[in-house]
Amino acid sequence: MKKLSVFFVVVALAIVLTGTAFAKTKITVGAFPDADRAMELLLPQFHAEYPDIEVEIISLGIDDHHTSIVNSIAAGAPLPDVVMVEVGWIARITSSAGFEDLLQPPYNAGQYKDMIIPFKWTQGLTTDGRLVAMPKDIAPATVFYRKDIFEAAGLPSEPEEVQKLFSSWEGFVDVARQLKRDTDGDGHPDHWMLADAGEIVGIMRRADSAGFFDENGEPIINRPYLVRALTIAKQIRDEGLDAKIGAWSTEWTEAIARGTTAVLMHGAWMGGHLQGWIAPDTAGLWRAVHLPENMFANDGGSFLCIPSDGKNKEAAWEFVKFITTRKESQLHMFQSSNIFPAILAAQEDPIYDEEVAFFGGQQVYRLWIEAARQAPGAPVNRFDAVAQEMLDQAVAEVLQEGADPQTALDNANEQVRRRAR
Amino acid sequence: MMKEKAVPASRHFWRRRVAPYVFISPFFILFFIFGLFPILFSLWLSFHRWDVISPMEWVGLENYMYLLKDDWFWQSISNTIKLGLMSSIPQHILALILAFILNSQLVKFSKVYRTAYFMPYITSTVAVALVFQIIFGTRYGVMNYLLTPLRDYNWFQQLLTWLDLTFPIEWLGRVHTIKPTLAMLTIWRWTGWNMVLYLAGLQSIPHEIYESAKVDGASNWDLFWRISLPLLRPMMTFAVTMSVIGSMQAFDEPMVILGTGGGVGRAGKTTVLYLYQTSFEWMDFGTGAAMSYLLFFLIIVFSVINFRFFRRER
Repeated sequence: MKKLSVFFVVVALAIVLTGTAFAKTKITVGAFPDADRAMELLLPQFHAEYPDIEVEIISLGIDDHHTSIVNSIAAGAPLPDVVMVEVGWIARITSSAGFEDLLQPPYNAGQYKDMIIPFKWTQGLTTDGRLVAMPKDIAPATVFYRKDIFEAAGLPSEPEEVQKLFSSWEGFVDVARQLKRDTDGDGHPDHWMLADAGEIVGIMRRADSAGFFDENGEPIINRPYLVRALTIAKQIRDEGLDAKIGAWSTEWTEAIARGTTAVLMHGAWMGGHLQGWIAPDTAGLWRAVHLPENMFANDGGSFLCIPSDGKNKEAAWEFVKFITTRKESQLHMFQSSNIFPAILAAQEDPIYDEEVAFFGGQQVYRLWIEAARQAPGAPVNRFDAVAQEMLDQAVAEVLQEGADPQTALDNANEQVRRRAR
Repeated sequence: MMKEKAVPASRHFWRRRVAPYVFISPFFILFFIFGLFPILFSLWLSFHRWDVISPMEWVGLENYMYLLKDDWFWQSISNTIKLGLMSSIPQHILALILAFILNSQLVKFSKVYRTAYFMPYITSTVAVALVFQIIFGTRYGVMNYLLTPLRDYNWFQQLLTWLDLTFPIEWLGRVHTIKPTLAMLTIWRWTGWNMVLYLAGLQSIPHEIYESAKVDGASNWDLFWRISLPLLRPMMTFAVTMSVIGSMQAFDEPMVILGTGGGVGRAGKTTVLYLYQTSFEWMDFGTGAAMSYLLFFLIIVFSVINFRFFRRER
């Protein structure tokens, strides 16, 4: 942290010095992977168009990035001129006072409203109607599955057929029963559908148009929808249909790479992760279909914000506009990192008809577009982090210790109510 | 012989009164900035509501009242104490025995062993915790791999059922296995440190005492119970106090292995983990600060009890 603040001070000094010496405005952009790389690749073009502005991208891991932003605000230390914020943190940013209202002059972002996917625009608004976060990208979610493993289990494996199998969550559980197999014949299962039954709750929550709180700010974690999600997950766990491997652990990536588990449910960016580092050797074996029971979800997505203390807010806005309102930029980021455009026009382009080799030539981009069109945008709340933690705790108690879904969620709801003060 | 020069009054004043303070000032300046200021500021903070982004709001004792009624807070205190006991007791017994053996010249290469036992202490916690996570993994973990040949035996199944477990064992995924697993890591990491402390204590006991005891026919067992242990009392006070403070502040091991949630049923959620989560994830820095002060008072209480206990028979 100390190093970081020294760094910011040095950057700030550098801005002042270069500003006076060369009359060239230098701005910093705080970001996290993979968007840092995607924006970096766009810089040559930006610099060519805006020779007076020099952009530097400062990147940290997603959690460290957000922690450092909050700490810098707390310490009164300078922030980057442009700050990228993920949807899980956005409500804390929109509930604060330190960011520019982009609807006001000189920004006048209101003119872009119709370009952008509506729910995303709403998430960037404060309760009193200021726009403090410019929508950058969304993350339509789909099922990713291994075609070869479905075949080996004697299941239909083409996307159209699999989509039919997944016409309901009951059908999904049926498939899970058939994907649990003992391939080495030692009397113990060694292949499963899912790594962690908890993924079902995660994705179903994101497929609902309600958030963790209702319009009065009351927690609604124990609503029937989530009770059902937990009940399905519990059924999968109780029947021994998942591998009981926690997501994002080393075991989890190993299980995916080895084909121990056959199904994932995540945002489009998961395709990038699979190809990039989790399972590059499985190219061509994956396919994607929509979530079970015709559900559509957003699993991630982020915004760009301009801190009010910034010295170069106009230059910062030029960069924000370049990234968020230009079709070409948004398409470029999609092609380089599967970061899905938040502007509607960028979602209508021939590139989305591409047959993607990693998915055995399936037109998965089209699928993501469909999901993006139908995914609900749940309202965000500044206590989302608390609610997420309580939901995670409830899921763990139900799956690991056999707690009753309704009771666990009632407790979680009570905990959130108590803490959201 | 040199004639002593008279020192002018002002210089005398400088040398005698000011210079010492100047010389010790670097420590105090740093201490005020990085030590005292945060301590006082967090006390001040504990009477406020502050999400870092909005201005601070004075709430008086509300944060403290909230915490005293918070079941998670009390659970975290109980977790911290249980984890502390589960790791400290075996740790000190092991360390004492090892130190006694290494000191008794019963073994060769005692320096090699000493270094080997101390190694875990200087190894990065994060690296160690990651290795432990791999050892205790459910599907690909080393522990479960070693137990795999046993899984078809009836007695092993019965043992697991009796322990309320199923194979493969979810070492870090069940409420009743999380604490012992975490404790194993802590024991492994801290035994060497305590052993070095006890070894230093043992080495300060004059050899003549042992020799005369041996002449009088004392066994190794007598030497340990009647000479080493009583004379180690001051060192034990120190080592146990350090353990008490260390385990009350347990954070890095559960954080790296379980994350800020503290695992299923929050079984591994220590108080420091909870205050970190409250402050940095939930942006409730006032409550976090209040929690750290409640913990601080608890550490004082435990340290005093511990001190009394070891000083009692003096």
